[in-house]
Amino acid sequence: MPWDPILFRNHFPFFSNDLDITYLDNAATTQKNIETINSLSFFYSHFNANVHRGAHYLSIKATELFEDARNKIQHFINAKNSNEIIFTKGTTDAINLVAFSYIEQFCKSGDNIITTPIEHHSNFVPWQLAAKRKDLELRVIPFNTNNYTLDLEAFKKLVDNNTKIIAITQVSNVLGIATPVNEIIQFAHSKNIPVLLDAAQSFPHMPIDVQQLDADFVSLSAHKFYGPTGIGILFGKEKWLAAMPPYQSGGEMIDQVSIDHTTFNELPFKFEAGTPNYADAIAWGATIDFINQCDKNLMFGYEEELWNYAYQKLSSLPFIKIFAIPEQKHYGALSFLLDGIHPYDAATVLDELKIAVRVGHHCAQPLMSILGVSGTIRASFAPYNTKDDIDKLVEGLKTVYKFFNKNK
Amino acid sequence: MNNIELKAKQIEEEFSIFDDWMDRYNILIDKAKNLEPLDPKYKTPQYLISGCQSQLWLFCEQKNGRLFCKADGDAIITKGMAAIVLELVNGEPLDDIVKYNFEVFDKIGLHSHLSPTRSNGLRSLIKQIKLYAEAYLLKNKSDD
Ligand SMILES: Cc1ncc(COP(=O)(O)O)c(C=O)c1O
Repeated sequence: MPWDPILFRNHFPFFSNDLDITYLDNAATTQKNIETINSLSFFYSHFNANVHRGAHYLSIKATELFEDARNKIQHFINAKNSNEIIFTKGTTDAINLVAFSYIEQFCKSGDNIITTPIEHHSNFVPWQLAAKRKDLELRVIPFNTNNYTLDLEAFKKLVDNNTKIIAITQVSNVLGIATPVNEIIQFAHSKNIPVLLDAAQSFPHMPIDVQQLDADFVSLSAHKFYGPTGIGILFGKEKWLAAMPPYQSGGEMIDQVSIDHTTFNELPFKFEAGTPNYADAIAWGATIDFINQCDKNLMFGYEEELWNYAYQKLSSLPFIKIFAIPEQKHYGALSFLLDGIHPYDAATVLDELKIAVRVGHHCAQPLMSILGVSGTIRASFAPYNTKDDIDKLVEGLKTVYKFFNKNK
Repeated sequence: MNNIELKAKQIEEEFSIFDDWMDRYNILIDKAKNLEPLDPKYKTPQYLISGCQSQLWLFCEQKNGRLFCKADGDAIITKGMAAIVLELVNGEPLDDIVKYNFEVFDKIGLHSHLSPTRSNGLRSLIKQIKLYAEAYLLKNKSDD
């Protein structure tokens, strides 16, 4: 049986509001399924109490549900142990945690960090700041704009005895392509260097098995895969997390506090200072249950079909430049520009046509600069999108082109 | 009613004939095309008003207590919006500019372009023009 986008879409109340919006900005955030929304509302209405605090029934129940959610996400990404799952505000928060705590513990002046120029600012700026703070060097793996690949030979030459961590995205939020994480992890591990994977854009579009990947750290956000905003995780191998000092301090994360000394709580609580976002974590658990009921092969296969359909339709427009090599496999995002039309102008008219796409630099300015553009238009897909949505985008782009050309 | 307000009223009337968005953008594009060009020597970072999604460059000077600005932009719709701003302020007394709050964009249905989340630089353009006006006012006072 093929994937049925309409059946799937029926789970998302956003689309039944007759807003008549063609939503193609899923890489920024996805819509939420009813099970997630209901779970949040049901929890607040029936069980709300702070977690890990009281001995009273509600607090125990809330704690159980919160820890259940941790287990669900643990199993979803196949982590060995639930204490390797740290709840964070999202990807950005998770990366900042590592860029602070790992660097604090393991780096000294003169060491270096390796990343790529295709990162989201979330996986670039924290390392840049860490490098400034600790006098480290930030090295960048060259990206070849002719064949859209990272130069692995150059990468190997960048690695030396002072390389302390490699931070790399698994899927580009602008180009929608995957990076060669297996090769990078294998090479890094041959030198005992840990690797952080930014899975913000891969998580919604491919199965993630952290043990199979053998990644040391993985960051991701719930909201890009039907889950609530304000919640995500850092996965970290226990051996690293245990050795790292806390990131923030306060309640929950301590063991004993005296006037002159504090000992810290065990993992994962050491890294979860303050009241955690347990309600959204619990709702995220409901999201995961929902996703687990879907046939992921069909779902991801359909996404690829949508991307290919979009590529084929868009590339037939004579006035478009698409930032993609169709032979590569793509995950969600498709970037392009219209000849002689500024992306902001295109987006303004598309907005009038009720087509939601993203324009600008997509928080990836280093990539924009090597692509030689100030920004792109990005359409990004989810399994509730249909070929009809893409046809509307194509018609919209024709309208945009006609509008500005008549006005030339 | 001062001169800025009079000009705002005219712009309102110009737009009021149309309720189709296409026609409103057509006016903007015409205004962008008719904008007096900015000397390329001012298209440098020093004169850049950065919006996250589109860029504007602004040059201002005063003559006899009145402000004169020139601008350019890379996105034509933003440039058209800038043209309206300049149409309103050019040649006007500094203190009128400082006081005026550009409610005209509300009235012509383009207010959303001024929202901070649009990040097209237009809000910053208006802020910068007012800063120029204030700075010249201060300078003129101390020169007296
Ligand atoms: C590749 C990538 N990394 C990191 C982020 C940041 O995610 P968040 O804003 O949820 O922290 C994003 C979101 O746009 C992204 O696409």
